[in-house]
Amino acid sequence: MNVIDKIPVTVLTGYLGAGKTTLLNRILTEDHGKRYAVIVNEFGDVGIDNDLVVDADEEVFEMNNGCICCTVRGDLIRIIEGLMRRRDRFDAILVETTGLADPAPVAQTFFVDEDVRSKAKLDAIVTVVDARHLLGEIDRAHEAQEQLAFADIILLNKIDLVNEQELGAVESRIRRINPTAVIRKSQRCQVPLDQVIDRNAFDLGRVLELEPDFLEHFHDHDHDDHVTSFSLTSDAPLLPERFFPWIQSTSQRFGIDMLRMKGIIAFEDDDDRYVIQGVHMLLEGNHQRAWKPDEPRLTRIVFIGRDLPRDIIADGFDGCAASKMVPQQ
Amino acid sequence: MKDFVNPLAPKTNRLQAKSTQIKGWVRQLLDLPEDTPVSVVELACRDEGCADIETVIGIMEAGKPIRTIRIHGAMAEVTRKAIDDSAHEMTAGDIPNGTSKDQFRGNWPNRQS
Repeated sequence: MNVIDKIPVTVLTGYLGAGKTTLLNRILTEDHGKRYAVIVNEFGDVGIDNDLVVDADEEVFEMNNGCICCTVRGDLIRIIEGLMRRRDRFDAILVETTGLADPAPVAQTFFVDEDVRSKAKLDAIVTVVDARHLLGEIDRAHEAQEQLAFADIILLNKIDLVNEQELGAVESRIRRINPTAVIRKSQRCQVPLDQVIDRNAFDLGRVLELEPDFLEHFHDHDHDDHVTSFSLTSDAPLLPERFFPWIQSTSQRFGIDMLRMKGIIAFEDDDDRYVIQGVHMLLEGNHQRAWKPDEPRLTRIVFIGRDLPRDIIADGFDGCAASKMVPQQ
Repeated sequence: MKDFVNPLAPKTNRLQAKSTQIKGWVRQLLDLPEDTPVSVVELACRDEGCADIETVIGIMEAGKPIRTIRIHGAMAEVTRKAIDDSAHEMTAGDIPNGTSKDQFRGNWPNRQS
């Protein structure tokens, strides 16, 4: 099975009452030409009943004694195995999580488990947000912030219940937490479905092909949120022999609080862009395409996490530049 | 493209064949049906209490707690014997008096719990 044959998986997250099930029911009942197998947390809420709707028990598999970075969803591995035996009956998989679910083990399942990776690929993490209640919830519910932090696509729902000023405030708060997610606005989840499903939005290389400046329009924000984001840039090319040990040790040291990381790296004497992304301690990177002649060879990495020590991370990053002198031992 | 070893290359490219081999060994050794999900993961975690690199095998039978085999070392270095040894090691502490290892095999408690 090659990459093209992998089944796309959309993960639906969102705080309690945001509208996940409404969106799910739309996806299941509207004629969009795709057949979905659905893994749900509450069987009764889904308005369709067939054997491709599977109830999940959110069984967390801690591979390493409670370390969040080594935690996956055992039930998903098992259910996807079972669904794959009926592979000809659906085109894609939807996973609905509970309103209080931590998205990390769900996302990590698609990075860590070899069987799942070989058969399925994460298409996008879609987080549904209640525009009316988000600002109230977000200050007291870390889950709501983390669901935003993990999102590739955010469906800002119930916008009819707020005025323009309130909507602006909600949007700007979301941007502080997650500067890279695509935001779509809706009433009662009425958004063209092709804007939220089958987007290949988790694949940073693919996103950058479509939107080459995806990581460029970014500003740091100082604020009191539990989850924050910042970016590091360098116009000096980096050395692989410095960058890889640094990013690996950074992810090991701060990975528990590093929710998402995305970057484009310009290595010295390298004609191709190197694209990297991570979820907690799990990192992946590969060459993407050649730098264009008129394109500035700029390295940029965006970190989204819980109280990450920007100064320490920035200091290590600065040391990766080829131009940086390393003191003699 | 600059020629360097890419330590972050997608794992599927590097480890899928080995993972399939390990799963085959586990199913043979534990006499598991072919359709029992087995997950094989290489972990490099410096969290307190974690080994530098270990291979964790999860056995996910329907209706039973996930059982775990841990082998210190990279996935590429895992051998059939190492799985067999770890399986025995894991059961040994939990075998009730008078029960043979073979009788007890396939009924390990989940170490995580």
